[in-house]
Amino acid sequence: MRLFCLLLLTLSTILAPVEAVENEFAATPSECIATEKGDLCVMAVALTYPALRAGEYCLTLNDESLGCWPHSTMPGTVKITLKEESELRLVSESPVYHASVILTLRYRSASMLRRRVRNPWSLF
Amino acid sequence: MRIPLLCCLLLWLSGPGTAWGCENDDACIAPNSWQIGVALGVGGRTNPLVDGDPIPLVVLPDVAWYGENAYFDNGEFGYQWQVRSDVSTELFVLANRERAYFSFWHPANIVLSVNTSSADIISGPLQPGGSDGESPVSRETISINDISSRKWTADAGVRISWNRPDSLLSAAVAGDLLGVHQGFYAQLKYRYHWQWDDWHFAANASLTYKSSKLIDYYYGIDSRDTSNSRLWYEADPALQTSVGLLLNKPINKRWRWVARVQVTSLGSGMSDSPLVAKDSVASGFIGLGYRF
Repeated sequence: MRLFCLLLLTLSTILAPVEAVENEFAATPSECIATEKGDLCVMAVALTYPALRAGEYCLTLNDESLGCWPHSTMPGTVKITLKEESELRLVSESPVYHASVILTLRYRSASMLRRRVRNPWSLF
Repeated sequence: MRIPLLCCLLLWLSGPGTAWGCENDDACIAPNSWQIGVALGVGGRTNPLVDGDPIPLVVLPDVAWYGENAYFDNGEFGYQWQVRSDVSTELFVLANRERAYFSFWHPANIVLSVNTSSADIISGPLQPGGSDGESPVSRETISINDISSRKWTADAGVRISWNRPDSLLSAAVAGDLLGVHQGFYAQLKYRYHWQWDDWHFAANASLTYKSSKLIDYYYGIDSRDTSNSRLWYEADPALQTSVGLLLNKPINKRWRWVARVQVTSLGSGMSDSPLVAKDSVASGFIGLGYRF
């Protein structure tokens, strides 16, 4: 009986339908890597959207407007300049809609390779 | 003649290819880590001194450790108090390499097998138009075997480097740390890095001013060396130029091809010495390197 239950559990796991990934507002990449702290980080971000209802939608970065577009012509890529971790929002007043992603900032200097003072293989 | 040729070669080689930053090559190191390697191959360095034998290069170690600020890099101890991607400043201590020409037991010669088979004394005139690098004027010379010993010392100095992704310009001034030669040198150096296919190149050119005290201690001749006053020589400062090329081709994560060539003109302050038979020093090496 115990073996039968285990078999059922295994089969149910294998045969269970894969849960559909919800199509949601997303930005790729969501992380920008700057040379060192204080540097502005510029990157092109590819955007994916959920199925949008008809209307005008706006993109904002930390409440600064990047532009507004009809739902059918939303940009696939936007150029983003980050100086800190920022929130990229997709908003619409009519229909009321709101989604956002967090864009993070990293600095290469934290783990950056350093150029050696002397050339390698230059002991003699 | 060789130096302009090498310059042309460097310019030609630096034409194609793309510049490379400090990402994944032997010249890059992560803070708080070691980089240890050894290369076996063939090569050598000419010795400009009278009776100075060429120095074979068979084993080429590469030892570096970098902390957050302190570092050891191929014989140089230093402390960088300004480490930025665009500029760095460091204090450094480095063995003085002039001494390497005079004796076997110098750090520069430890892994080299030198056969000093020179005659006891040679003080005849050099013939003009002799072997490569020989001084073209006839003059009396004195062998390194017949002079008083020169002491080992270390130089301490300060260096500022301006870094770009593909190049580095540095200016350094260093003086005698142990009061041996009591002189100093100042150096301006430029390094340019680029990659062509799998080949990593690093070309360098430098201009070095060595004070008269430094040159005179090692290459000056006086009564301590010989009673023959015709051989006495009080050195002037020397302005030395140097160009070189380092080549590195990874075979896999551990193994790589390593080659380098360097030519340095010694400057008249040094090459006019009766102790010096050549006006330039050349070194070259090609071999297989293993990175631990």
